[in-house]
Amino acid sequence: MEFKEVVGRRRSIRFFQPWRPVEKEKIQIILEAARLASRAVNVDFYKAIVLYRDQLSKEDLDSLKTPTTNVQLDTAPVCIVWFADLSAVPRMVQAGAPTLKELVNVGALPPTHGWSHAYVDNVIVPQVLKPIADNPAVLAVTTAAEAAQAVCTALYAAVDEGLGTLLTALNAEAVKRITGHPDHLMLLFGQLVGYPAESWEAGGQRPREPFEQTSFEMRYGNPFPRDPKVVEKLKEAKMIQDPAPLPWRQEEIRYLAQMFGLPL
Amino acid sequence: MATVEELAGQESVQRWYNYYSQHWGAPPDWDFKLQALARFSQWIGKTPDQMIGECLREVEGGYKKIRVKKRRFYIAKIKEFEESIGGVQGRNWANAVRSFFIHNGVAMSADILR
Repeated sequence: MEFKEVVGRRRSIRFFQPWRPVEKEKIQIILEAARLASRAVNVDFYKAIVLYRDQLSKEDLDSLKTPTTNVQLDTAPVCIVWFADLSAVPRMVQAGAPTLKELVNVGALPPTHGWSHAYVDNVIVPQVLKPIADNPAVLAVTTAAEAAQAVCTALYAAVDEGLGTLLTALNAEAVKRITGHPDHLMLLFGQLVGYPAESWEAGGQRPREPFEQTSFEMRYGNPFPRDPKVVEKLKEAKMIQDPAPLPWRQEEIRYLAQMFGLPL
Repeated sequence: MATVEELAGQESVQRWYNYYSQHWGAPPDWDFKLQALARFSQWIGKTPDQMIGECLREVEGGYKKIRVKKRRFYIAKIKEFEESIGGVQGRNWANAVRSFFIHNGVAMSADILR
């Protein structure tokens, strides 16, 4: 699938085909994509644990649920649990930022831009990374933001593989008990993966704030001009798609509710 | 406990009808939904307004907060109610009650039918 269409097709899917497993190869592809996502100082800010619904007991599956994370967990065969690794930056500080020096060595951070091992030792470690490591609030935000880049890439990889996917909240205590993850991993999301039981449009592209209210030129409040020709081009490339609600969405939900025996 | 007619006058029941209708149109099976709620109401010995009042509490700023234990209590009771009737019929009756809670802001769902 072309990149623009992948962006355009991504939706939060909330009804999966419970009977259809996800090929392990596709799960690996999702994880491989996350591994190659953009990240600061070339460090692994995330950890992922793959849970298979059919290998969880009913009690464990139910314990992961929240008030609005329920049917999707029952129907999705796979849940990738994403964590922010709060030990990533402190480890970098302690070890003297070896991954950053590696980037200097391979020419990704060249002297043309001021990079050297000495700069890493004298400036980046003590003046940038250490203050982050020493401030729990800043550490959490920084680590979560970096880890989220990997999660975002994983979402698009799932769409590209023809899967339905969704980021959802999970019960943190249950995640801890089931996965046995160490305390330095902070739960971010569960990424549910499976084949959609609803149409891939899932009711249409979600409403967004007007382009001009989120994107500016030079100064805050000065809207970036939105060229209608570009919009048309993106519609042709299927990045901009028919907006929600598609006319048949309510009926679709009625049928899905009936199929799964759910309330409306 | 309460007749269908009495039930229809309860604030939480009117809220249910209004929110449901806003999104889904007037429920064609409204009489059935009311019957189901009346039956559950009798079964548990509480009026609809009492049930919702137990699940939600007012907090500062005029917002309402869900009482987690009460929500869990009603989830379990609705399941018990469903099982006491049994089969698809039980599911339909229970889902009508779940709908009542959902449109009053008390999120709940059901296990999928297998």
